[in-house]
Amino acid sequence: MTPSIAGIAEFPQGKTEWPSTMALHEALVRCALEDAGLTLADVDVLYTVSPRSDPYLVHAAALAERLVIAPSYCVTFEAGGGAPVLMLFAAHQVLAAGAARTAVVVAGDLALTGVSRARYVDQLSQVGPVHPEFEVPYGPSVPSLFALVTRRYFEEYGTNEEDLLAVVEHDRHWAAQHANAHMRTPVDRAGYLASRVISDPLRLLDCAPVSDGGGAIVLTTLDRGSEAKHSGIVLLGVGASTSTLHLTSRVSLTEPNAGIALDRALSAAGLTSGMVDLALVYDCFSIAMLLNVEDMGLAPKGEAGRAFRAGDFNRGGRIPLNTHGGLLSHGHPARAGGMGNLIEAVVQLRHQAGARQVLECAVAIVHGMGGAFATHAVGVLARSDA
Amino acid sequence: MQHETPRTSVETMPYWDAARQGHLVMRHCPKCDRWLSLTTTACTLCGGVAEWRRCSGRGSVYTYTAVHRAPREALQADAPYVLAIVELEEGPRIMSDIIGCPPSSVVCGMHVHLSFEPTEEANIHVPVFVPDRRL
Repeated sequence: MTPSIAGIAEFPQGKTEWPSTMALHEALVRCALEDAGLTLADVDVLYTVSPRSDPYLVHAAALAERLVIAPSYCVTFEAGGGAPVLMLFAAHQVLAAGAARTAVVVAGDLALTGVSRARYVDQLSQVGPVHPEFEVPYGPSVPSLFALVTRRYFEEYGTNEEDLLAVVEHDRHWAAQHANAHMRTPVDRAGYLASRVISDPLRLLDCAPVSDGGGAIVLTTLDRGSEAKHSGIVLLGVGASTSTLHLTSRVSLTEPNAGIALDRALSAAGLTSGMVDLALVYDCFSIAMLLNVEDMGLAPKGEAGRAFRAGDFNRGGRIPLNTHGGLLSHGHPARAGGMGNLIEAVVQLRHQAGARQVLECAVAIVHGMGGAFATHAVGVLARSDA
Repeated sequence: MQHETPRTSVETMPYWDAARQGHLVMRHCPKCDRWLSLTTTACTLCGGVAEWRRCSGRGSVYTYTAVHRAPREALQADAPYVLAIVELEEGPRIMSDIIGCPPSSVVCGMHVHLSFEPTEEANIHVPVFVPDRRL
């Protein structure tokens, strides 16, 4: 049987009261399995990302021990924000090969309440996408890397902070309609301009918040038949791409490889971009949304901001984007940041998004990005009856 | 501005030896006469081993940002400081800080030249850039 997504789990993100990172993981796994109508004993594959709030060698094995299960495959992935899509892909491949029957992909972190802010920012700036010899001495922070890219974007396309604001407003508008989103209070132009500059020209509101959160997905080839709570969602194809880790090695700072990853994913799925009903784009910063959207061909170069302002990416527009509020407002739980995109795709494809529902949503693309546009992964998800 | 001593390696010693003597060297393929990135050890065209070659130290600002929120406490006193990617006149790009001018005066394309700043460790100096003086 084709592997299909049978269960998902996500809880309110932001400042939470989880007593431990493991408690969050345990709850996500149990909740997703219950949603799938399966049990812990069914789990053959357990994939996680390494939480910044609970670093472990082979975190997945530590989680398996907590759950008192012994899946054949326990692996902890590192691919930046691309990990969730790639973990789902890996699980799909293992199941499709017949080497296992049920996989749980879970990514979570108490990035806000489980790690001191100073340590979180410092750690990221030392082992984030910066070179330990040639870059660390100059004091780059993760936002500053994206700010360097933003300045080139402004310079090359005549764009400005109004385009950044368009993304911030979009994501906040959608997050306000999602019960799990971290940042839900409306933002307007005055509020945006008043928010403090982190690394010019990026302001606090241009940066995804540090959030507790995450999600879990159960993928299985087991046929639950008429007892299945939900119709399965399938992974039709995945595509990925790599540029360079360090900004200085790149020929252009405004040409991420998101489009290449999307093309590969659509090709693997046997679809064209016109068949996509919804896109979930990795937007750790407002500039990431703009450049990734343009590179994926959803707006011409330099015009994504204008497209946001014109409503192209709302329901009823050309293609709805980030109906959960994106990382910018739904939340950014460190390495688990991309899970929100996957979970929202499944909710929308199941037609369970309530007031956020994209009508007749049948095909969704989910994008994840590692580093500062260093790697990209795109998954094409669809209803099994599509 | 305070500069943290980088974690150096045997492999990159020529870079730091040159810096101590007030020179900037970058990776270069002698056979193809091409500049390579700092992390590339073999020429992607001919496969030859990259050498370290001295640069003039002149360049222009490719992109920049004034960092207001420093990544660690030790740097916050220097904020806002200007982090930049400088395009050397020979072609390759390097990350650095632009010092010796108000952050608001930095623009893309601004001509700059090499200087060096000490780090906590006496024998490790890091290349930085200062604006060319206006005539």
